This record gives sequence, structure tokens and C-alpha cells, in this order.
Amino acid sequence: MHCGYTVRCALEAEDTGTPRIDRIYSIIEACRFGVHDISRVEHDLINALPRFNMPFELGLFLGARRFGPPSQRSKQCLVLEAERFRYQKFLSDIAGQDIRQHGGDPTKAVGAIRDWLVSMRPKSAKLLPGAKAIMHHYQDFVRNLPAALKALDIEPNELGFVDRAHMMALFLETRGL
Amino acid sequence: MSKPEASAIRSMQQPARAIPQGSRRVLKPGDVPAVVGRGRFTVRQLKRALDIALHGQTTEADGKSHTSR
Repeated sequence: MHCGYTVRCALEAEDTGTPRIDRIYSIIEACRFGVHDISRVEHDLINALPRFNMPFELGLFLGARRFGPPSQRSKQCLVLEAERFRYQKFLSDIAGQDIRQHGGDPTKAVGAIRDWLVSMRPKSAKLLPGAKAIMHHYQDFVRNLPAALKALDIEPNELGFVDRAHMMALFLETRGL
Repeated sequence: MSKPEASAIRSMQQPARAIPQGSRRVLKPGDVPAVVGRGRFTVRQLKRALDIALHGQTTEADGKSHTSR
């Protein structure tokens, strides 16, 4: 969002009654760029099973690009992983994709996405802020969020994805970013 | 350059703005919404809450400042 793109997420339409997979299909269809962080494959604490949603969604994205109509052929995706080459142990078929490591560091992940977006933009496009600046503004937003939640009279877990994203956009606007 | 390519480049060159569905603001050609979807709150409510968090007051459409209590 800080780089001027529209953020999409399956959580943006939780209350529509549309099956989640259909929402994911439509979001993938609408997006030219996809960022897939496959690092969160660790076992969850309750079921001791790995989470496969992100690799699955990456597969849908690659499938849309490969088998979709011409409008889908210009799709570009970035795959993020925590450790270099770890994906080869659980998703070796994606070798050859644009895969970058963040080591579990949010600033490195933001930097990888930012740098990748820069590489996708025309040279005439405006400059993007650096990863440290983006994180600084994000931390500024997080610091001010509790007071905003108090004004809305809600708990942090009651702020859904859409409202949070809208608030981030308004925050960036307020800060002139 | 094809029309879709030209459109994609135009989109990249324009900043995304907060133009939520359900607000009174209407998307104009060339506008790029920062977020898609309808939340629990209106943009006005979110803006007011953010103003209170940042400045301890809100600036309503009448241009006057309203201090939070």
C-alpha cells in the first residue's frame, strides 16, 4: 500500500457468504502481481500440522498465469522464504521462480517486496520509499492504533482486515505519504 | 503499447488512495483504491478515530475542529 498498490486479501470479503476459494480465485484473477510468503509452513501449536494455504495459493497463481486467458499471462509473482533453499525440502517444484529470503525479519521481507516492485515498474514511475522508511511509518501507525481503537470503542481483535487496511490508507494520506 | 499495458503503467504512477466502498466518495476514472471491500466502519468513522489518535481531535466536513472528550 505504501508503494501505491491496491492490497488484496481473501479476508476482504469475509461477510459476503461467498466461498473462500471463490474469493481467492477472483482476487488472483484481478491481480497482476502476487507476493507469496511460504515461510509459514511450521506446525501449528494445536494440531501439529503444517499450514498449506500459501503454497496452495501460489500454485493457483502460477496456474492462472500458465493456463489462463491472455490477460493472465503478464502475471508476476514473488516468493518469499525464511531460509535460502529450504523450499527445496517441501516445494521443490517451484525452483526457478523468483524466490527471496527474509530470515524471518519483517524489514527484510518488506525490502524484498519493495525491491521486487521497483524491478517491475517502468523507469518513468515515481521512486518508492526504502524498506526502513516503510517500516518506520508502519511502526508509527502501530503506535497510534490503540488510541484509534479506543475511539472506535473496539478491541484490537475486532478490527477486521478491511477496516485496518482503510485505516492504514488514511494514515498514509494524513502523513502525506 | 497495448491498452492494458498503458493502463497498468498509469496505475503504477498514481498513488493509491483510501476510497472505501460504502463511503460517499465515488471512484473517478484513473483513481486507484488502496483497499477493496466493505468493512464494519465507514471511512468517516475511521478517519475520525485516526484524527483522535493522532491529534486528539477531529476535523469534520464543516472545517471546524472537534476536540475528543
